[in-house]
Amino acid sequence: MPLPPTPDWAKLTEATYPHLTQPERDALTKIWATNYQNFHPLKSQLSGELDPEPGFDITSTGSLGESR
Amino acid sequence: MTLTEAAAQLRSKQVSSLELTQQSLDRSKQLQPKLNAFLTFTEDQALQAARQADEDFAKGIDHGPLQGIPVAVKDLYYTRNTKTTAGSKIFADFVPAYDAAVVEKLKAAGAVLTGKLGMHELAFGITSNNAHYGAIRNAWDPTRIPGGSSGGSGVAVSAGMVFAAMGSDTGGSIRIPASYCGTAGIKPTYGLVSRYGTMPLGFSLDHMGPLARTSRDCAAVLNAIAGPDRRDAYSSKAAFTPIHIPATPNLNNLRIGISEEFLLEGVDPEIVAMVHTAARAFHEWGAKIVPLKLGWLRDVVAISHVILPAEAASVLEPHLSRRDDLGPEIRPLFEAGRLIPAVDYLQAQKLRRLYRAKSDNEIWTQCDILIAPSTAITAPKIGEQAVTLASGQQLEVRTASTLLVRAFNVLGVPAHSVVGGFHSNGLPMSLQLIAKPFAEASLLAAGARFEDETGHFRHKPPV
Repeated sequence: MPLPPTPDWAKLTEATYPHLTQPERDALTKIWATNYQNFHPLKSQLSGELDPEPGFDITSTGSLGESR
Repeated sequence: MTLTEAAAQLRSKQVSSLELTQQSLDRSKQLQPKLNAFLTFTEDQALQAARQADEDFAKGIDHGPLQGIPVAVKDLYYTRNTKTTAGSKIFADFVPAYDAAVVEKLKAAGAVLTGKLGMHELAFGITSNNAHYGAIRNAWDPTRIPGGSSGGSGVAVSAGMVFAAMGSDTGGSIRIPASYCGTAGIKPTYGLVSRYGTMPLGFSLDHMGPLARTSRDCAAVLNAIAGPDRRDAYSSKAAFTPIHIPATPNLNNLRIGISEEFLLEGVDPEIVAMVHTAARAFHEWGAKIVPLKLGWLRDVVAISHVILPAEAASVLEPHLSRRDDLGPEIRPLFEAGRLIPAVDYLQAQKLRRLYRAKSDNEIWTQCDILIAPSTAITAPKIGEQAVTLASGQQLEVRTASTLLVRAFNVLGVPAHSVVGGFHSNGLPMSLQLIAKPFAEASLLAAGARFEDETGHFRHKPPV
């Protein structure tokens, strides 16, 4: 059975943020339409052995998160 | 006066750092009610640093071209004992205990920090119409946006408040304000400038860089701030070679790529004409023009639409319960980012590797510098959601501002904006020059030649 192309954003949004107003829900819907419009077809180029970007240096420290 | 010219005047004793700094502070404060570029002035520290710079000059101590030069930084660079808000109500009272790596380096180079600049809330947008601190206004026309997210940085440089300003660029946030404000700006190669001590947005897409009047000024700042930093987990290990731009940069046999596909589609026709004029000019100066077909850059933009919201949501998740403290424009972007599946985020990062290889094979084997507009339109009005071109074509402001810049954040390559000319509406248009990783020197040299020959950067806004 083929995978669905995207999560069901409407259901996911409703389950995660049940208290959104309709305009807020519409804003999220618009973002999903933009974000995933062209992304999923690109996945056909992938193979499992490919490493994701970016690499990081294990000897570096990185920020430890002072802003709280 | 440019930064480079001010540096020469300081050394020939035509002006002191204290005089330059006082002028900078006076102009910034005079224009603040009109343009709202600054969030915080650091006047006492600035005057103290200026006196120190003058004392050093008197003793023959010279830390380089930034010594004694008034500059300012976007308010997401940590500054010890000085408030750092990132343009957010959430961080309204955040006072870091240390300086960002870039701020450390600017101070070590003798630069005079006059204050912290306003920005789009949490750097997640392009208007700089900030819900908490007010709209930042374009010096060319205060009814228009300066672009963003480094809006205050663009305005402060364009209105002559400071000689250079630090910005950050996750999806165009240096190049968009450079475009709308008529300044130069450079997003360096990912990892060339330390992100340590900056408020992140998309940690694998965030690039720190300067906005200034010219390419030469950008080079002066980059020379001071670039280089490895073990405190940034993604910092490049390669030693940085300082950039020297010759008096007349030689462009003979430089291969300049141009793509009608994608990079000149959906663009204001006057801006398209500006890019074609620039290509002809580069050819006259000795460069070879190489036509490319880069429609696939649109796929790279699609990848950024998955990576950025997911990373931004991970950055802000500890604070997302404070919904009311987030502006209504950016709140849904973070909330949406939380719902992106981990698998999709990782697939996007894998695709990024594939497209980086594709850019090596299909762009950087063919040309040395790719040219394109920085933005598809000139600065829109504050509050405008869409613009209609003379041709009748309607463009959505956010898309028209970001579409031509975002791909180069995903690819991590250096991208440099210079003033490309002026539109018939009187506003600046911006030429973007892009190169392979760590080729900042050739980008800035080409930008300098373009500026020297055209003089567009000399035009000043009417403030």
